[in-house]
Amino acid sequence: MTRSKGRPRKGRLADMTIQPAEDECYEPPPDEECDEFSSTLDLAANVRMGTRQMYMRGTSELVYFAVWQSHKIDGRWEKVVRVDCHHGTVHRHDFARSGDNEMAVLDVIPVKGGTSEFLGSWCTRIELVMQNEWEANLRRWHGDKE
Amino acid sequence: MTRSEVDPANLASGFDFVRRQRDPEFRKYLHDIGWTSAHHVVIADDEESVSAVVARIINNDTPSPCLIAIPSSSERFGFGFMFMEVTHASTRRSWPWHRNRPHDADEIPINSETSIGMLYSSARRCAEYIPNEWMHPVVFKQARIAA
Repeated sequence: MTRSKGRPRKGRLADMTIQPAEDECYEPPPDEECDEFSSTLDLAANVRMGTRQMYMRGTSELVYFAVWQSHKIDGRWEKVVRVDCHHGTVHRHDFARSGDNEMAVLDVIPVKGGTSEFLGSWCTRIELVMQNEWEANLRRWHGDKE
Repeated sequence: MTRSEVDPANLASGFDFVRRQRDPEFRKYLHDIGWTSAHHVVIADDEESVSAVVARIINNDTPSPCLIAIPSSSERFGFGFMFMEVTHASTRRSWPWHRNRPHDADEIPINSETSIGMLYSSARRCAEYIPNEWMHPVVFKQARIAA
């Protein structure tokens, strides 16, 4: 993949070196200005998910979220999928047993106006997608053919 | 190597818990019962045996204490909550005074048929439970705040 300039486009496979133009890149506020709410949920033996949400302090204004799926195999917890919104984009990491980490940009976070609603909407969508694709993600991680 | 499998109902309950986290009232409730991000949340069906839940916690290396969330439509936020903690006391079962002492009226026995829902419904802090796989007793404590 060759490196291209400018903001990443929705839907493209991401090159980790791509950064949105500095003056356009959304970054969450500093941690000290936020209330963090993180949780780790054990759903079954060897099955775990986690979330991290950050809100502007004292408000319900969502400024960051992450959702991840992991499983324990051969005594170790392994990441399967993680969706987060670092680097100015909502993006998804698909991990594989081989150690590969394929990242795909899902959307670019608006810098000015409506950011919280945008992130809230994506957070809702991602939770639904993660729930629906749970088993498929595991099969992919194992390298099974679809 | 075994594949990780999750019951669809438990998966749905897990995501239900996650969705509720966006509700500030739910976050406040969790804070008020003493939950912090350091506590893992263990989703357990009402009818799941206590021993199965504890075995799962052991298998997953879940840090102690943890919060057990039992889906329940009759609860304010859709879950009943109990903290489970591994105590660091020696196993008291072997202590002579413990074997002979009169049991408290509010203790309930936990046997292989006891479900996590039964334990929660007892609405009391429960006596110790000593799983075979652990050297230390486990204490369950219901977490509930009246609306």
